[in-house]
Amino acid sequence: MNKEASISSWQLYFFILQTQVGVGILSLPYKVHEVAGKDGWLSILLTGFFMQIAIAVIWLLCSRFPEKTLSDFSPVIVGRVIGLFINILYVLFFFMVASQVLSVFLSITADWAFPNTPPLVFAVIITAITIYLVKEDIRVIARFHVLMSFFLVAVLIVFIFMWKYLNVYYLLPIGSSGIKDILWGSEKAFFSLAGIECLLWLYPMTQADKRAKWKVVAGASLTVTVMYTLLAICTYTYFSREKLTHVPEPVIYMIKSIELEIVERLDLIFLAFWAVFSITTFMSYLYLTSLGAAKMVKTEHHKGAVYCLGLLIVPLSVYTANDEHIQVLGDIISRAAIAFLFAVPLFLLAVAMIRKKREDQS
Amino acid sequence: MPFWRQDENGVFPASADESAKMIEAIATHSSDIKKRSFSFGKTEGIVLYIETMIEASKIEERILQPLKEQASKKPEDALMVLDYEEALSKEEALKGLITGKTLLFIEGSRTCLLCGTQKNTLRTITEPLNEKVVRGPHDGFVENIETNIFFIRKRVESKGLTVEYMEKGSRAGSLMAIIYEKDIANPELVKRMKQRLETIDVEMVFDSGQIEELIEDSTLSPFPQLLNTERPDRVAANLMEGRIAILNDGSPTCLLAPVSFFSFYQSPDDYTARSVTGSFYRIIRLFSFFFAILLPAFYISVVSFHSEIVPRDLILQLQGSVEQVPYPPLIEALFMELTIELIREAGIRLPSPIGQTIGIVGGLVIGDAVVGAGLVSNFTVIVVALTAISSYVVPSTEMNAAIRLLRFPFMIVASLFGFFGIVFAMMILLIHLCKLTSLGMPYFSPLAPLRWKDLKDTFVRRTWWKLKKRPYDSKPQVMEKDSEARQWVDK
Repeated sequence: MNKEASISSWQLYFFILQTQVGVGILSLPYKVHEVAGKDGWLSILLTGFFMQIAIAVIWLLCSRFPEKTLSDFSPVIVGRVIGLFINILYVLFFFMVASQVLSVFLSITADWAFPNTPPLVFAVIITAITIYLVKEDIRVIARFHVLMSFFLVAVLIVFIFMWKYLNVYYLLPIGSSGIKDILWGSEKAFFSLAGIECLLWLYPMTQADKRAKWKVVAGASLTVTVMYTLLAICTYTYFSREKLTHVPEPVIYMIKSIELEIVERLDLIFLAFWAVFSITTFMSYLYLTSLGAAKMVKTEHHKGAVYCLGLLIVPLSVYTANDEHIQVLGDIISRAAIAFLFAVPLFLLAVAMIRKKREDQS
Repeated sequence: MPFWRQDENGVFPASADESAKMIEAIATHSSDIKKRSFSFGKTEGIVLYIETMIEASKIEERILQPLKEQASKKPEDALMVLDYEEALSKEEALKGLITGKTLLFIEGSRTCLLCGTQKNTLRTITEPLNEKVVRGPHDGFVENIETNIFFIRKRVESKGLTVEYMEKGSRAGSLMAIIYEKDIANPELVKRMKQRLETIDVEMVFDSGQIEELIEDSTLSPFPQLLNTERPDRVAANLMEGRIAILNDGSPTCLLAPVSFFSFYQSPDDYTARSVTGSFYRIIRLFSFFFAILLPAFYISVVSFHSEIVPRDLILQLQGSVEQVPYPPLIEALFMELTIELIREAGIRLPSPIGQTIGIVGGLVIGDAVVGAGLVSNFTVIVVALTAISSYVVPSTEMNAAIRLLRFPFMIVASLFGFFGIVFAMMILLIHLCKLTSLGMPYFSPLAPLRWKDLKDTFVRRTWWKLKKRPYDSKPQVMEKDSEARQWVDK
């Protein structure tokens, strides 16, 4: 890996944060509520806990090969053919996630703000902006993600405004949905909390010691989990159980009710911030896809891959930007996320331990 | 018979007259090249000079008079000029002639002496018109490079201050100087700057703007990547932070690099004023950046897309005002913005008393009449006026131009996509700022890459004793300042 293009541990923190906080922020409480009812927030917490396990596994795996990305070390562990196969799967997964993020974004913007604008227009604009950033090296992308993280303050402000409307009794009795439903609910949150798999590629590009890398990734995941859980609690204490089944984007509805002296409809402004978070997620995934793809065709720079993938992703995301496709693909990606976040890294780690493959000093 | 050194191998003929004619022949026969023969003791001599470049009294008092009075001495000893050298070739002699030196030929010597007798015309030193400060020094650079370096040296009386001259211009040469504090500036950056300057070539350097364009990292970016200033105190402060200054003869503008975006928002006033007030005005200035770029775009998107956002009490007035106007908000706002640009451009070119009149006619009369005629709504006029005011807050002409240019694309995307358009445009702008470099250093530092420690001299100006370190964006050799600014402790 090119030693010069490296990021600091803080930049890694914000990169993971921006990758995790994305389109899901608006509809996550609703989706989890469908399965787990009022205990959805427990599901989100549970997902956060699973994420911490995934982080530990990925971190253990990566720290065995401190100079290499997944594309480089998977052939070392399981041989060239299976290694390449795993790489292709990851690239496909990232590509699908990127496309799904864009699709969800397009469908929500069509519902909330621009019903008459063809989704193609936004798809092209967003992809163009993304290409403009993503063709640069990791340093510039990380700088941008750090900058965009200032907007997360907007989410905090929402909590402050919502305070007086909340009814905590809606949450009680805690855990009444049953463990099974809470567990199944946590599966729904996987797509929204995914993002830590960035570490598989970013580990060698980060200049920090081993422990610091684990700390920042775990910290980022924890931050997002806490934020989402709070948001879910906010929604569940604002809407009654019946109402929640009718609002697929409860967070915006909730914000819509906030009335200020200077701004009437805060949701419109929140939607603009949400666009930022969605686009940064899209950027991260397109970057990871292009990194993996560039490794597969063995090119020096990922620039060419970014242009090609950008051209491919526009028609795909426009085609899938409707409720049925999003539903189907969302379920597939949520399951695939479990495989790519836990199963594959765990498998690679196990094989690496058995075959005693490691390239660090210790 | 010459009694001083006789150089048989000299490039010039032994006869002074022939030597002078030789130079005259390769110089164009310009009418202001003058020749005068004179004799001192038993020897004949000739002085050759360009009349318009020299000071006559200097030749009379420092060359002719001493030579005549001390005819027995060697001319080198008799001459009363400090700047004096021997030309080793015809070309060197010619160049000396062109730059205003007097050529002295002495019969039989085969040499040509170059004596500095240039005329120096200085404009009076005034405070730069576009960089006024309330408190602090009021002197500014002039068009003469030596005077400008004197200003800088006078302020930074340090052994590390290094001035390196460089000649630029293949046909009409002019002098340039790279100035840096050797013990602070990063040698890597100094090397990079020198390398860039050495590898540019123009026929003639006519202003620092030309140099700026040739050495900056990204020419097509709207943002200036070199800070230019006419204030010696600003240059001195930047040199102490490890930046590199470039001066060129004939221009009162000094270029500074590497700089960050936020350098353009700092005024010497911040440092002379009290820390709290300085911080307040700096925040106002940074706020003005967003205001100037976003306000018209925000207005357009509210009127065309998101009128729900306006509080109930205001919406009736807004509606009443906007509904009477036949044009879409973008056309309205563009019309007013372009009018402001016209007024500005006219105001600059006209002599100052008329310029003010144009401002009044443009601002008051057009503004009032245009609303009365129903072409533009009241709110648009307010928005455009506020935008114009906030775009002139930034203490740098280049940055101010960049801002005024940037608000047009923002207005267009806002009219197409409302808030989303603004978000898209803002993202592109920020990505651009993240990518941009100044002399290879990140331009949007200390925000991207984020450095908390440098933020205390970015958004606010903390007290002097808290500013213990130099900013990181110029990668100085010594980060720590030498001394503790406030050492006393009250018992």
